[in-house]
Amino acid sequence: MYLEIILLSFQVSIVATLMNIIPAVGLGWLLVKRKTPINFLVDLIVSLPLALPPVIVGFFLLTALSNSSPLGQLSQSIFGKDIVFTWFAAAIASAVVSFPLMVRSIMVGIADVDVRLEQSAKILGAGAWRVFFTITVPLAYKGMLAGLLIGFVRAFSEFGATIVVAGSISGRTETLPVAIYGRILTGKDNEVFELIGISILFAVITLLIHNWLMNKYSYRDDRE
Amino acid sequence: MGRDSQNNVIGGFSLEKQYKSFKLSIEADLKSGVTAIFGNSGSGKTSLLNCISGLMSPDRGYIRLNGEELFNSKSKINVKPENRRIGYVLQDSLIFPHLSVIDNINYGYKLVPRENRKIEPDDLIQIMGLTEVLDRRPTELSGGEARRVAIARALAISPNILMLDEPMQGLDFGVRGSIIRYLTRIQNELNMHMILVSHSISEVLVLAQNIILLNKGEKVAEGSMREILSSGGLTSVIDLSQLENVFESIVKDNGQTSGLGIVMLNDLEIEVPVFHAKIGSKATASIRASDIIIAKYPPEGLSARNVLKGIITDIADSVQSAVIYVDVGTILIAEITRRSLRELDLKIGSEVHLIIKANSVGVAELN
Repeated sequence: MYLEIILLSFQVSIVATLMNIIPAVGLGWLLVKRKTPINFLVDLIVSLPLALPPVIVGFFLLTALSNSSPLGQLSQSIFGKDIVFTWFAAAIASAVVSFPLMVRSIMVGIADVDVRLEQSAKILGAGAWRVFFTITVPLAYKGMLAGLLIGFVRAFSEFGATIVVAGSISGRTETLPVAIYGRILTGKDNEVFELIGISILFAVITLLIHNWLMNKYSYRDDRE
Repeated sequence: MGRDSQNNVIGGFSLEKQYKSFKLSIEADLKSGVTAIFGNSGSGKTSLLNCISGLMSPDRGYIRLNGEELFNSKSKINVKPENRRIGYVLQDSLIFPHLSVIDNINYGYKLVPRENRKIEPDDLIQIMGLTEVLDRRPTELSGGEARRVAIARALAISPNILMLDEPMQGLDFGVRGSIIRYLTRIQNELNMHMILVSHSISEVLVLAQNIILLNKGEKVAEGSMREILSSGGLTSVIDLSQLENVFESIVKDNGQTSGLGIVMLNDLEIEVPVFHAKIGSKATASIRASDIIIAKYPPEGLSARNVLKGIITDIADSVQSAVIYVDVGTILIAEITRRSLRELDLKIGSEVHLIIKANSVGVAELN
């Protein structure tokens, strides 16, 4: 009975995380490596969804993706479907809300890599992409993985923006938090507690994985 | 030592770069063989290497190497560091921590087009004595081994020139001698041009034919060691009391039972204090230039344990004191006062006797 809800939640948060990977890593790298005067502005804009009530993010997304918007019409003409009030809209909402957390964690990982290792690789003949994939990523993978997991966790628990842009359609957009909300409204307390139990279980498992990753063998800590 | 040997010009640079606290402004030829850039910390040595390697761009000037223009502010040429083919060993070795030793060495080698590969990793592993550690992780290397891996990795790209930033920095005394030996082998066997940055005059002394003296971002003197020492007015930059002879020796007796150690410097026996090292193993020995006494005639009735006969090959007469180069089978330097130089009437070609107390020889096992 809950399987549909759980699977949908996973589908939404996995797709949201996947959508974020490349932009989050790319932007994280740019913010760490390319010191420009507008860095603080980009950082601010990226972090905004973190500080704003998700319901506001949801409202903006609703406007941007609605049938009358360019994006909505594009979707209509290509897929013959609306974006809003679909599981994909929920994934987009989750992606936007979890993006700042992912970028921040990835930035920490990248900043942790000794720049001189990257310089050494460059002098050995490696171009920027090669340095990134053979030095930066292998050395920053902990921060990057942690970022992905944190983003996933945030996407999994996303509610405010999702309910606005995707609604609560059983079997289509009803993720775990949305399902809990619906059952609170209708007074199905037993189901509420069961769904909360499932949520806690997943949360504990992901946080344990996250912490394990953070404490795992680190090249740098090992040297001393 | 090849002092005053003919140095061919292989390139040159003239560059200016303004930093927050100081300005780097230097012009010099790059010569074949080993050039040492010597100066106190903060004199701009590392900044200069960073500019030559392309990690930093000068504000103005040019850099040429082997007929290729690597940087020119006027014609807006700025070859990327990855395309400069310069071997550069940054301070602290910086071995890639996620790669094994062999993968570190091969990292740059693989990126060199086949036709440009002149130096093979196998040869480097041999020369740098790394056969035993190839599969190790960087965390399992000693400081000296890590330094050798970093040097081998830099050489594996068959660079036009090898630049080393403080190659002895942070290493135990015993290891320093071995790095000097390896660098000498690189020079002899690979015929590699090198730029060596150092704040220790002893390292510079052993390795370099050409020395550039840097102070506060500017070149204050250039030439052979003798020319540098003779150029005067360098007391702020060079502390002659630091001057020491560092060489590799073979342990003949560690003195654990006899009470007196003996190391072999080529064919010469040198008596040293009791120390810990296996008989037959290699050890680094050092003698301060100022601890060596020069006698014109064979001395008698001395308590000092070592008397070495040799011929003066060179005299560097500086403001503070005179540095005498004596060939005793190998070159040793001795520092004496200018007054002694005058009164003893020492000249190039004079036969002299070097007197060295056993206790003034430092010995450490080489590992």
